[in-house]
Amino acid sequence: MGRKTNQEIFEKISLICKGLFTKSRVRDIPEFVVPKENIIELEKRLKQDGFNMILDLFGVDFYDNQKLKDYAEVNSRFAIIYHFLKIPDNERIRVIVPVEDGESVPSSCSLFIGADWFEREVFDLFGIKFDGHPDLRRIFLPEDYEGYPLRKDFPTKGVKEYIGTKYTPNFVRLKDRNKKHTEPLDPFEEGSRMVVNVGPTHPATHGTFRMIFELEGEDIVGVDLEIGYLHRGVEKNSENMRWEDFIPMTDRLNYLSAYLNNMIYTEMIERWCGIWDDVPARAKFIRVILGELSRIADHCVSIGTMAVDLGALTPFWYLFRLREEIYTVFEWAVGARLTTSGTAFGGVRKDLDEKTINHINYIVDKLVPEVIRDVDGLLTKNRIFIDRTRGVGKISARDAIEWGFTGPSLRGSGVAWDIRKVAPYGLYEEFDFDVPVATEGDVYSRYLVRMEEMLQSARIVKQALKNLPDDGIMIKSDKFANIPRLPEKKYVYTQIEPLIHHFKGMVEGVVPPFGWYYFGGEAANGELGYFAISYGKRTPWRIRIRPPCFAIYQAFRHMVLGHKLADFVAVLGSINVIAGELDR
Amino acid sequence: MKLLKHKKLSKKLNLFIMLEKGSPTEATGIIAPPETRYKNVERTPSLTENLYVKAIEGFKVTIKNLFQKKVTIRYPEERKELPKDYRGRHYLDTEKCVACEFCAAACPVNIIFIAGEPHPEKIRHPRIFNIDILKCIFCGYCVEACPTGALQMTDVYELYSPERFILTIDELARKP
Ligand code: SF4
Ligand code: SF4
Repeated sequence: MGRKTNQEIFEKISLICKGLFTKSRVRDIPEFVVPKENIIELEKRLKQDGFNMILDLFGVDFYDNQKLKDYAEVNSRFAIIYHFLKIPDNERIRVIVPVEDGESVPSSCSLFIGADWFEREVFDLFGIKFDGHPDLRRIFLPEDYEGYPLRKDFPTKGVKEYIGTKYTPNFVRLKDRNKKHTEPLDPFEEGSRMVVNVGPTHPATHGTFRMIFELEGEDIVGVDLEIGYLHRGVEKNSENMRWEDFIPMTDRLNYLSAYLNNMIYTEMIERWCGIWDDVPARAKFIRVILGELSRIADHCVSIGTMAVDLGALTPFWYLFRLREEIYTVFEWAVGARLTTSGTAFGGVRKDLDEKTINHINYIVDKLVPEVIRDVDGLLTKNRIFIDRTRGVGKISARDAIEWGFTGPSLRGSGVAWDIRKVAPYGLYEEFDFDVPVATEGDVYSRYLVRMEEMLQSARIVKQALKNLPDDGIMIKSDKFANIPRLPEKKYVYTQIEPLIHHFKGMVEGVVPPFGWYYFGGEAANGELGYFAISYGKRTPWRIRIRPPCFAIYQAFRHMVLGHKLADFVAVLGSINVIAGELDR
Repeated sequence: MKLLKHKKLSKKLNLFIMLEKGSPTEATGIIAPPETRYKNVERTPSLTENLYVKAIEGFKVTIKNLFQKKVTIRYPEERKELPKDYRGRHYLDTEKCVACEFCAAACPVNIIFIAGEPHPEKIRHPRIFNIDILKCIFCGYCVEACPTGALQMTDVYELYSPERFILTIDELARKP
């Protein structure tokens, strides 16, 4: 059974949703322009057809750019863009809903529960309201914030300073207990509930976000999450940045595996500009090698810190030893430890030398199996660890898909979904690896998946090292005007023509074709996607980042409800929330 | 008893999530896209594990590691070897620099400030060259942009300074 092509999907959806959309076309994926009155009906029909995830939901402000409006075939100032995904068939469609200023859109939460936080984000940053949303509050910014930052007429510097944030919690509660009490009562009274605040800086949160729990005894009966402490406005900043300057910004999303973020962003631009096939194989191999190493490093932190939170300090040291060795590789292979910025459009910035290759060989051949064996011996068969993790934070495959889970968290629920396999990008189809899955959907399952994934990543690196080709690390062809190729430095210093090329490249920079493009890859936590709009200038019109943890963390509320207070650290550790990526 | 209550609670939890979203379907099998080779890593604890026997085996790992070579180093007496092109503090070769401001234009965070002046031999020469090192993200784009090789990065990563955060031309020109 082969995959359906975009054209086939387009025809199928056109038939199913006949009369609901006004415009339709196939671009990188099939696109439909749908008036906002029809969106709920369309979602119902999509759901019947098997589309089960809102992968992404975000706003776009066209402001006064008529050319872009023509491209999108809308007449309004704003548009809300939905990406629907069908698991496991990997069918994707894009739905564009035009909205004017001050209008509101029906909320999708009743059909796709995972739209919850995405809609709050659009409300927060664009000021578009969603009718029927259960909990429409600002999500990143303080309640009393004035203005909507991602609108084009909002200054990048902001309008005024805010000191201290205003926040009113709105708890998600265990339904059957909801009626008993509505107010927090005297903690000493029988059957009363207590409110406990965790964070924004707490050892167990590994980042800055705040959780508010309502407890009955030790049971969590109500949760509210506040995020946005690390909101740096990456998407807003990107609008004043050149395309290539955004690569260092991607480092700061999931800073534990920065290289994967670089890799996916660079590949997106390369595919968009149509130069992907001309990128030398050695560069692609290096990307895979370093990307997979950073995936191992990410899982090391995830498992290590989770174990620490559960009281096991020793595995943490073993895993951090492995991580340190991987960072040594990064020092030599890209020149930085954490914020790698290792890729450039058309290749990678630095070649691997003999010494680095030997070190990588040592890591994947010896260290990874050794460390995994040690950690395995300490945790996997440890009854204490099993008691703390088995059956905790359970989520079924169906629920996980509805909430928008991807990556190891989804695989822990028994869905063998890995973009490296279903829609191979990079060079992943050339490598032989398995997708680890576990069926229980609890913390222990996610732990098992991560452990196996490290071994699989090591397997990929091993194969890549064995077949490392030797054809340069930068694109050679000159025929692509929109990606300037910076000549090698030694020629720039000595010859006039490379110097002119260098000047030309520096001044003109990268300008992707007019329009938009989406590309997503398998980052350490799940599908990290970039959706970018180019308007023919050196700066993007908009770059939207689809962060994997954002979708996962919204389900955290339902995963911890009913558990003991001490269990939330296990659940939090197992979904590996990274504040940099969550808040952007 | 404790376990029982726990189970009851999670049942309630499941019920609650299901109620919100229609008919209940439990995760029974593995959902896999066609042609995806997967590996089921799910496991059920064996009897010995349930009896805490395996947990004690963890000591074997610890004891084995006790006799291994140390992997830590005694910083700052010992230091890690770093590559020559590590992205640390900048170094400016003022002889080579022609104040073309390419580095300033390439910087994603706009922290390089250059004022050039005429120079008899190489036409232009930097009079002021400031890098606001506090804002620097050490991306190395300035070095990549430099057409003369004047701006380089060194392996100096200890950038502590009690008061000054802007590297001026004198400090930049100091060889590490
Ligand atoms: S390293 Fe990057 S941030 Fe720092 S001065 Fe150079 S270009 Fe700017
Ligand atoms: S790019 Fe190089 S030559 Fe030009 S001003 Fe900067 S350091 Fe000097």
